[in-house]
Amino acid sequence: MRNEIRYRGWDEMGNSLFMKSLKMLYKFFNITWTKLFIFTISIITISSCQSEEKIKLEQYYIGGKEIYELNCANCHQKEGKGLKNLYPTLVNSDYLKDKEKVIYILKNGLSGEILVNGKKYNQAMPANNQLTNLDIAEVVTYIYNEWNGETKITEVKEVEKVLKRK
Amino acid sequence: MKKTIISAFIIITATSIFSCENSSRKLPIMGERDFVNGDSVFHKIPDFSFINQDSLPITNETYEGKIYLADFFFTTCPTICPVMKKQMLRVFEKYKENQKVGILSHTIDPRHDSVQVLKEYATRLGINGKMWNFVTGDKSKIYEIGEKSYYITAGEDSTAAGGIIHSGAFILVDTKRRVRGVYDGTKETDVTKLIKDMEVLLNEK
Repeated sequence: MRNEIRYRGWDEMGNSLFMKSLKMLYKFFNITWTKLFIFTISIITISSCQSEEKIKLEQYYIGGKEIYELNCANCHQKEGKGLKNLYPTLVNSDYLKDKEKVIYILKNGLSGEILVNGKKYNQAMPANNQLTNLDIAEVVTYIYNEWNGETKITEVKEVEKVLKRK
Repeated sequence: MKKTIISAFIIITATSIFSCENSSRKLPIMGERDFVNGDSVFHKIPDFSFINQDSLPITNETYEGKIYLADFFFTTCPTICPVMKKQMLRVFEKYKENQKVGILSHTIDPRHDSVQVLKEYATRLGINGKMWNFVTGDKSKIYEIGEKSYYITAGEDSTAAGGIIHSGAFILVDTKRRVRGVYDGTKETDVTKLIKDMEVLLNEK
């Protein structure tokens, strides 16, 4: 008996203009969401077709960006442009042509005067002993891909080779 | 009749609210205060004397009639100082022609940061003129004025990068040597607020 009353109440409400418009809205969104879902799935499928190499590069790039912003961006700035004549730029920098030297400096620091794109700098850079070889490979990949026109990974092997030698 | 009264009331309220917002925003006076003979005596930056990047003595008299910003840094600091200096450069660019504004950067590593080192640092930052002083001096005096007068923390810590830990605060001091604001010099939004507050302080009578 009680249930009947409740059902009747629902029916009346269901027929009201408000509920009708709600239902229409629901239908509309239902269709949109379905479309969106299919779209997302297809995007994921397509992107998973990327080569493994490309995915690895992306991983290095993202990891490297994080390491950069944590360890380097204070001085060299988030955009890599350095600060006045105090900290040199990393964007299209001729100093970065010797990648082995860069790897060494990243780990061990640097002091004394250097020449970057024709400008003299003389501010010591601290060593980064806390960075692992993988960290260095990632951050070098980021710096060279973001600002120096490279589109490839700097492998951990390369880093190991340099740091073992010196 | 009733309408005129109501509208007059609304106009009066509106004008009073607006006039409050425009003219009477005042910066707080910071620090402990004493009462002497019924008057409040505020915390004040005491007399000081340091040497700047041009080997000139810089004292409290250098800042007479000026508002100024104080901060503490060291040139070999790899962590927050470069960020602070980048933000301080914003203030410098805005007020470098203004005779009523000064900047006073104390080194907390005077053993390394000699006059020559400070000079080179300032030049490399593109700073010239008398507006921004980088000062060095007796280490204990710098730490004392930093901690007791400008309310910053600083200390040697071998585990920290660069060997010294310190706060990245910018301290705003008024023409009467009273602290009127403390800002985080590593945060862009905080420094934007600071620049607004400096405008308020410059217009204070």
